[in-house]
Amino acid sequence: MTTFLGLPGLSGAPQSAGTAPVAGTEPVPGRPTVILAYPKIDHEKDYVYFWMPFSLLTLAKPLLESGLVNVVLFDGNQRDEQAWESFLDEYVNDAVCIGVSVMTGGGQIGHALDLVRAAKKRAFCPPVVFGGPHVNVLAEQTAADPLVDAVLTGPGQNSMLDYVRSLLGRVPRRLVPGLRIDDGERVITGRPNPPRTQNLGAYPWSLLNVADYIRDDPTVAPRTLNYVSSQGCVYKCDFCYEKIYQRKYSAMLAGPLLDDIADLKERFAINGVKFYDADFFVNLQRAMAFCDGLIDRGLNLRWAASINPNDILKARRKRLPLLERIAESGCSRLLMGVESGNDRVLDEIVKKEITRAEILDVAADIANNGILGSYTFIVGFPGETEAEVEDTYTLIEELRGLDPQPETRVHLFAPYPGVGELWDKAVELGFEPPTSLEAWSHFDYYTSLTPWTSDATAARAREQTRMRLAPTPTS
Amino acid sequence: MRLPQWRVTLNARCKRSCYYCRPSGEAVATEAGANLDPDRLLAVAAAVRAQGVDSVKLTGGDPALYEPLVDVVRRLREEAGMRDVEVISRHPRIGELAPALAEAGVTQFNVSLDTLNPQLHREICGPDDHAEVLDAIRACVATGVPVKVNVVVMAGINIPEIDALIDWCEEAGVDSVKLLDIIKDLAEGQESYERRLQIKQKLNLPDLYLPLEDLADGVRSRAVDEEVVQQGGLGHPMTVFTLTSGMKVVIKDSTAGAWYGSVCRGCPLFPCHDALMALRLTADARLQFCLLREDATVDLAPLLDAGDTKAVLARVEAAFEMYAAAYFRKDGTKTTELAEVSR
Repeated sequence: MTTFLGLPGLSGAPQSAGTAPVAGTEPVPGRPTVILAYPKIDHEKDYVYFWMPFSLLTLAKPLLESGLVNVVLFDGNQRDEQAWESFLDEYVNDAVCIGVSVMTGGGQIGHALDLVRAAKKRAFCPPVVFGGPHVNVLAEQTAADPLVDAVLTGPGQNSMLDYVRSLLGRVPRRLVPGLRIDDGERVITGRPNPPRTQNLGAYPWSLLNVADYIRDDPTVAPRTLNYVSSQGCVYKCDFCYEKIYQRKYSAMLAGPLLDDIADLKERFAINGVKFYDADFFVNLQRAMAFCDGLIDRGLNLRWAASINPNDILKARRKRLPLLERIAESGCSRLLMGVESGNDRVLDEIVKKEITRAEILDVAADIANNGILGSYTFIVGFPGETEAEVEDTYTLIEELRGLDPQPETRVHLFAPYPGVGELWDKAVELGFEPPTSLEAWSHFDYYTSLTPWTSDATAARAREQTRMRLAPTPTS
Repeated sequence: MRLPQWRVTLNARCKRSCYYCRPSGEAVATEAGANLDPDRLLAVAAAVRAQGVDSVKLTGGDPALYEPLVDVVRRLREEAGMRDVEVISRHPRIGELAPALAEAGVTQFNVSLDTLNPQLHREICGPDDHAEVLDAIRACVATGVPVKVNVVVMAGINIPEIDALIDWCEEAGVDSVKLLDIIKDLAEGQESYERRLQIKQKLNLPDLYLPLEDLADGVRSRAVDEEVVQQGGLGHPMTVFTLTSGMKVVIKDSTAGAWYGSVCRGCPLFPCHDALMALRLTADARLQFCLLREDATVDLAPLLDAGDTKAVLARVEAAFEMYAAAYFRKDGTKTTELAEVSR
C-alpha cells in the first residue's frame, strides 16, 4: 500500500533521477569556480571512514543550478595534502571563493586551517568562507580568525549561493543569509538564515567518485552507501548539536527519496544505504511510506538509520506497524541514542523524555523484529553521580541480553557551546573552553575533556564500546 | 572605499564604425535603437549616488544623438545631485547642443579626434565630417566648460600625427588631451568593427596596438609637470603631463596595470586589456561590469519597471561591493606573482 499516506511523489510514476533534474557538473568555460573543501577528520583509531561529504553536495547543488559558477569538491578524507596542492594548482586561479565545512572535534578544524594556510600562500587566493556545525555554534570566534575571510551560519544551502552572488556583484553582503565578515577592523553581517532547509536529494554525484564511498558494512550490506534525507530534529536533548536548528526539521518526501535511492542503486550497484539523518523517523508517515516504497518498488536494499525511542512510542500510539514495516523493508540496524540508564539523568540533565523502562521496552521490540540495535550512551555529564553512571552500565548489560545482541557505544560528555544549559553547567564546574579557532583544533571528544572525567572513566567507556566489525573498502 | 566610475551608455548606436570600437560602443551588444529611458536613468542614478559616487560619464552610442540629453543632464545635476556630468561624444551635433548642455550643467565635454587628416578621419570613422567635428570641439570650448579630446593611438595609422593633434588642441583651447591605447581584445566580444579594419587596412585589431611608453617620453619633453592619477581608485594608473600652456596630456597605457575582481575569475580573456574600470549602465538598463562579457551583466529593467527601488538599490550596492574588493594586477604579471589579493 502506498496511497493511503497521500504523499507527493508516490502517486505518480517513479522518476528516473531523484527529486529534480541535476544540473550538469562539467565545468562551463568562462565561469568562475567555487572550491568546496571537506577537511579530513581524525576518526577513531582503526575506523575506516566512508563519510560522503553531504554538506558540500547540498551546497554544490544550488550553485550549479544557478548557472553562475562551476563547482569542484575536495574531500580531505579521500585525498591528502599533496593532492590539495595539485587541486589548488588546477583551480585556485579561477576560483571565486573557497568554501570549507567544519564540525567541532575530530581534528577537522586543524586540518581545515592547514588547507587554508596552503591556499593563502597562493597570491591569487580568493576569499575563504567557513560554514558547518562549528561555525553555527561559534560564528564570531571563527570569523575573527585571520585565516577566515567570512563565515556562513545556518544551513549552507540557504546561504552559499547568495554569498557567491555577493562576490559576483549581484547581492549586497547585508542580504546574504548568515554571513559574518570580521576583518579585524569592521564587522559585516548579513540577514538571518532560517534554520529550515530545502533542496535535499538528487545531488550532483559526479562531483565525487561515488565508488570511493561504497563499503562493505557488516551491519548493512556489501555495497553500502551513506545518505542524508533530512536535517534537524524535533527532540530537546540538551547536549545535542541539533538544537542549533531550533528544533526545526526539514526532510525529503518519501517519493523523491525513493527515486534518489533507486537512482543510486542503478548507477552504482549499491545494495545497502546507511542513513545519517539525526533522526530518520521524525515524520512517521514519511518513514512508513519509505518502507512501503522500498517493498513496492522491489528495490531489495538493506538499510540502517537513527531513531529516537519516542518515535517508536508515538508509532504505537498511532497504531502504526512501524518496526514491522521497517524490518520487512530490509532495515538491518537501528541506531538509537539512549544516553543514560538513570531516570533522573534522562529527565533532568538530558531531557530525553523517556525512561529506562521504556528504553528496555522499545529495544526489546527492535530485537523482536530481528533488527540489530545499536545503542549509544554518554557518561560524564556535569552533576552526574557515580551511581548514576553505574545505572548506565547496568542498562548496557541488560540490553546485551537481547537477541540479536545490540552494539553499544559509550561516549564521553563533550560540552558544545550554545546548545543548552549543559554548556553553562560544564563551564561552572571547571571546563575551560578553547578560546580560539586554532585551539578548537585540539578538541577531541574521544578523550576526557572535562576535569571531572577521569582517564579511568574514559577507559571504561572505551571498553564498553562494542561494535560489530568496522566497515571495510569494497576495493 | 574603492569606487568605480559610473558610465552610462544612453543609446546603442553612434552612426560611426571606428576601427577600434564596436556597434554598441561601450556597452556589450545592445539592440539597435535602444535608448535609455530618462526615468530609469534617474532611478539608477539615485542608487549610485547613495553609494557615494557623485559623477557620471554619459556615453553611448553617442549622447549627441540622444534626444533628451539636455534634460537628462539637468536632472542628473538637480535631481540626482551629481556634481560632475561629463558628456562623451564624437558626433558633430555635440557642438550644436553645447550651449544648452552648458546651461543645463554639464561639467566636461569629451570629444574624440584621432586625426587632422579628413580623409583618414573618414577611413577610421566612416562619415565624411572631419571639419564638422573640429567645429564641434571649438563650439564646446566656446561654452567655457572644460573640454577633453580623446585620441586613440593606432600603430600604422595616426602615430606621426600625435604631436600635431596635441598642438591643435592647445591652440583650440582644449583643457586636456587623453591618449589611449587600443583595447586589444575588444574584438573578442560579441561584436566589433574588426572586419571593417581588415577590409580597409588589412589589419587586425591587435595590430593597431602600441604601448604608449615611447609616446610618453615625447610628451614628457614638452611638459612642465608630471603626475600619476587613478580614476576613483580603479582603472589604469594614468600619467598626466602639464604643458606650458596649461593644457594637460593624459596617457592611458594599459601596461601600467589595472584592477580585476571576482567577476574576472575563470574568464578566458583574463587578464584582459580593459579590466575593471567602471560600472556601466546600458541603454537597455543592464548593469555592466566589464566591456566584454555578456554574462557579467545584471538586468535592472524588470526591477525599474516594477518600481522596486529597494531592489535597484541592493543591486547597485552589490555591484559596488564587487569593485571595492578588486585587486591590482600589473600587465604581464603572472597570476602567481600578484602584489595584492582580493581581500
